[in-house]
Amino acid sequence: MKKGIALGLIMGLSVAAAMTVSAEEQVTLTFAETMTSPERTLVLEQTIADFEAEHPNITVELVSPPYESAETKVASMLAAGQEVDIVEIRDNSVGAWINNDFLYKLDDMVAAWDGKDELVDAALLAGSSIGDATYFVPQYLYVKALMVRTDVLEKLGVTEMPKTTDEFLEICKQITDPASGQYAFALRGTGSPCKTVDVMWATEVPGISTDNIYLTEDGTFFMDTDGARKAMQDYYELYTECCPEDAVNWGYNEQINGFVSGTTPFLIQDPDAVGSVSGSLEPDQYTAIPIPLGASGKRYLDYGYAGLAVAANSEHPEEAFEFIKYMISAEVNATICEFYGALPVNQGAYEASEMFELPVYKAWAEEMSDPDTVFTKFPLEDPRFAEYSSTVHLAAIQSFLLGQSDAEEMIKTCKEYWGY
Amino acid sequence: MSKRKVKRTAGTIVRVLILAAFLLSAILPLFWIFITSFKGETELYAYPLVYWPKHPTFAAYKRLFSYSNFGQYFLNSLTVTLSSSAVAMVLALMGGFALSRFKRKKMKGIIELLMYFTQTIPSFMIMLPLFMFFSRLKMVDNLPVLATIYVATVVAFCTLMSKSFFDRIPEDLEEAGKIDGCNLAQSIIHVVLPLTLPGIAAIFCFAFVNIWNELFIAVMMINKATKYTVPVALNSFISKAGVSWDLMSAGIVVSLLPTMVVFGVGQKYIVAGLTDGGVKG
Amino acid sequence: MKKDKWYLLMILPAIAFICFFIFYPLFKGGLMAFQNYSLFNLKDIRFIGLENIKAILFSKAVSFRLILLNTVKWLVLSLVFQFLLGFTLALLLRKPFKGRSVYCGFVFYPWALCGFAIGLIWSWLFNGQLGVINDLLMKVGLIKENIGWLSNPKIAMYSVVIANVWYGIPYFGIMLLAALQSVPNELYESATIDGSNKIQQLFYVTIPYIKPTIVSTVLLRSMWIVNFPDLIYGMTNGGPVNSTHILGTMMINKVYKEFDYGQGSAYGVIIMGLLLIYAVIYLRITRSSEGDM
Repeated sequence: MKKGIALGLIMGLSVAAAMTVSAEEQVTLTFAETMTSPERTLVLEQTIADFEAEHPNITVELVSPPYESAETKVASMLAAGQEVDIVEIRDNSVGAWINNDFLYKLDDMVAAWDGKDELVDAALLAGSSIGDATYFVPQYLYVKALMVRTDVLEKLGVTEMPKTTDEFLEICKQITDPASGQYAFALRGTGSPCKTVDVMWATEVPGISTDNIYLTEDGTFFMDTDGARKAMQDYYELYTECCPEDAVNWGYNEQINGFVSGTTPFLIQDPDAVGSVSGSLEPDQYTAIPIPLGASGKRYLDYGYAGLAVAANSEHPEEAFEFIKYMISAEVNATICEFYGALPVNQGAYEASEMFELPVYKAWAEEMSDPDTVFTKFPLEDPRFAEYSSTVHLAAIQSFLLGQSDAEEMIKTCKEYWGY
Repeated sequence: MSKRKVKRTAGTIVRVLILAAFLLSAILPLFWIFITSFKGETELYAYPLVYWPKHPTFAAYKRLFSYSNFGQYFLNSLTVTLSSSAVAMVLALMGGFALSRFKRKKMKGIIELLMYFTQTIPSFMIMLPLFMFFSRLKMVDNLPVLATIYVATVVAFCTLMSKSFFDRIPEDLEEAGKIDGCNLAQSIIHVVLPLTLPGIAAIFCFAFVNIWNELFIAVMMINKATKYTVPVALNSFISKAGVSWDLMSAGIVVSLLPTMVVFGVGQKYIVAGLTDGGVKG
Repeated sequence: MKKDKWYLLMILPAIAFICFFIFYPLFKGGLMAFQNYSLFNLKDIRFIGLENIKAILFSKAVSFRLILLNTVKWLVLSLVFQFLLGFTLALLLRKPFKGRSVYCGFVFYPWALCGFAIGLIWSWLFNGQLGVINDLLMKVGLIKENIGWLSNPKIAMYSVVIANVWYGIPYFGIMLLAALQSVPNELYESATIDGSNKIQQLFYVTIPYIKPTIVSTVLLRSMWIVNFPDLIYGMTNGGPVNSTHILGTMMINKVYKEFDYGQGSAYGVIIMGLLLIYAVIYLRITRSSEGDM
């Protein structure tokens, strides 16, 4: 008898407990980041803690795979149907993820979101540019610009910044003096150099398509043009005469080191490079200028981005989007970009942080609004792009720079790969 | 007589010199990393190179243990590695002994071949299937599961190693034990095992080092930062912005500590060798 | 014969682990080699026969001949130097001396490191501008201009091999030292009485006695070297101009950079096939010579 009462009590209690839980609807979200770095993970953890404080019924669990394998890892998680609610997407793989039905259509939720008006136009554009619907909201943007060490150049007698590719090459040759360890350009030798090189070459080619940087408007492969051939010759001279020999194997680290040490006072990079150099350089030691113009009179740039998306099999898309909105809000967006250096998507973020008042960011704004700047795209959605950028183009251009093959062979290799 | 002495001294000098060369080439690269770990950001990338930091700093180590939570990763790795190497060692000792003593040559050959065969398998081939399988069981992001997989990845070569150690111990020894009134198990424990102690130590060391350093499977099987193992943590110091060299070098220095301990203890047994007369039996 | 049953029981747990956690996923992974299995397009997973392997063998992007040649270079150079230097070290350490165990602790140290970390360390040392190796060579006056250790396609393979040799010496050192310890002293004593010198002793006493260890360590090491792209991945990731791309690094790139598990696994199948052929030939040779030892 006593047992029965006790049992009844326990059952009653557990039912009550279950009811209170369902009333509050405790939700656990899993957030998988792909732009992992130790510092950023720390910032994210703090952001999550703040978010949880504001939303006591939501818990966010962070998944942080190391950067190099992050996309493969998160894609595998999604393919295996693991419980992931929010994923960080990168520009080069988001198309595939949409194609795989990994992502949730956000159109309705974005439409009902007041905060979307705070975003810069480019962000909205990028967010809806892929697939048949809006699948993600960008967090920050990358655009290439020419970073310059003003102090080093001044010492070397350069005060007028290059506006054209010819001026650029001339200045580079002028300041290079291998005997004293002075070179000019922090060349990107390895790790998808095409993202830099193609931007430098395309400006010599008139009429690049706004859909694909590799094609002109009449459908010619951009490398197979007179303009590009001239650019290649210039680039070869730039490497052999104005760069350390080693630069053909330079990745991001080496580029930054070359820039910070002053060995190579010119660097073409994304704004996140500012995050990497700002610890070692004073704001008056460097700035950025628009990419020098070639024969076409235009500079063809692309927006790189990383964004946030809701996983298609999330059980809590509403809450997940709530978190995304929080991440994109002015303050948080500023905090995350501040330490990272990339361009925030929220206009409010530029006022929320002093960092974006640095002259170097003004230069980025200038370049983006310059009438000579044309935005185009890399064919990221083409599954062949990964192999092209990490293997085919890489080997072709290294072999060209090292004098193992000539420009025509390089053009042929790249052209045949794409079948243009 | 004195001629021979001269010859011997010359021999010793040559030997010492060669040994010193080995030592220097082994140590210097690590020493450079050790120095790097105490450099501040400005000295890290300074040119000309800074050989001796003028302002040595523990900043990297502080960052390592504060925000990168390295203590936790260290503990994760230690638990996983110790438990799986211990299990693998026991399995390998049993298996290696059996493999060495098998009478049926064909079966022995097949099993041995199987063990060698596993060593040809690149971990990238089994990574995704393992992930998919454990994902279905909801057992991804689970350190015991990772440890179990590690047992399997090292047990084959540990078994082969232990077999080659047992091969060098004459079977008569067990027979001798039997005559003394031991059964098979007892004769193994009392007679054979002590003789294979260097082998056992070596097996444990190998398993430990291999598991401690495994990266690719761990990256696949672990999701949350709190469950990182040390190699995954080191790998995470590479971001879009390249390698954080200060963190990386400090991390490498710290990650070497446990292997140092295992070595310090283990290699005594390996190097001590078989006691005189052991094999003579 | 009766005992075999017990022996089988003793080895069963190890076999069970291997079957469950290695062979089962291997079977699945092996299937992927014959499938169109790309994380870029999971909707279209289907069997495509030998297409993946064909795509690798006849790839226009990277010549398979080059990759194969690089893999052989990587294996042979690394193996020969690891073995010779490791064996030398073991021989020098055979006779105890004061502080030997401390010495061993340090000299065997490289082995305790994680593969990709070694790659990073050496890429740091070999760095053209900030690398300590160029700087030291310059200071000593051996070179006048920085050497492009990792940027010159003619040198890069040797640079990664140097790093691999550095890493691999301790393995042979430890394994062979442990084996050397087991060579009974009286064998040397009787050899000395017979009037043979040190070198004769090495070839007629030491090597035959530890031959089983040599045979198995060399075979295992060969397999590991081929399956150890971690180091190259951390140093050059195959570059420059594919001069250090081996089968293993191609496999990593297929999975990490191109998300293509199908071709990645196909590389795995090729690696395993080649290693099996290598092992069979190797064991034939070492077994057949066993008679005259």
